[in-house]
Amino acid sequence: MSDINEFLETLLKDTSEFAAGELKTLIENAKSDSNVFIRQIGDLTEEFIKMRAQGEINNDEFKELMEDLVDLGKMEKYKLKSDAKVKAEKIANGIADLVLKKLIILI
Amino acid sequence: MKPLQHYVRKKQINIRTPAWSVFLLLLIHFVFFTGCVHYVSYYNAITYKNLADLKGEMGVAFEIFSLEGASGENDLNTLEGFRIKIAQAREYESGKKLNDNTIAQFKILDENIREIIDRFKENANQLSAGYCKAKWMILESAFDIAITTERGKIEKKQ
Repeated sequence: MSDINEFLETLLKDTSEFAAGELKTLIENAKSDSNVFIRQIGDLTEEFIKMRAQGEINNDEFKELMEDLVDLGKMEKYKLKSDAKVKAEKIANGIADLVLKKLIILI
Repeated sequence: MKPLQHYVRKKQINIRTPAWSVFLLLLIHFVFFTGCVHYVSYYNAITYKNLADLKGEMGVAFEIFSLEGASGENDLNTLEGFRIKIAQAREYESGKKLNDNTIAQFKILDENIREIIDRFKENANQLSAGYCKAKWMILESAFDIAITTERGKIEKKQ
């Protein structure tokens, strides 16, 4: 398995309620952003989904890690020289929101 | 010869003209942006060292935890040791003026290590390798952000 789609399919094999496409687009957009921090948020989200799908972490740990991404967004906002601090915080919040409010209750 | 009031009145009128207002406004902006006034603490070598040391020490420990997980008294003591060091560094930051950004970043680092210790204790004194690996990815990014923030501050002129 190497694609985010496959990991999401593994996680969501018993349900079709989650808008996997929406999350996939958010992650792909983040991973191709010009800002280093936003790319990192995309990479970390993908890695945590992969780890959850492979059973390396449980649901509760996955939830904590997604909340940590929101905290990273806050830390980036406190940085003095950041070219996209507001955008970075919004993307981190958007991804975490989608995962925490929709994905986590289905897996 | 004209009376003195004539010159004073003339000067007052000149100061009120738009050209003078613009000049004064530009002067205020120049003084502000050239660093005569600043609203962030100066670069501090101790803060930088505290962050770099903590990142290094925690990196080594979490590298091992990422392979085998964490368990037992020794690993708990290691984690508690990090919590104490972060708390000490946070106290140091709290003592500095105009330092809200770094204090807020240390608060998040502090909450993170407390979360790890709480999970360790709730989980019969153990953490999975996967959790430690993922948590270090978060912590490493958090340290990098805090280190970059400190590096971005202006050095105090001697």
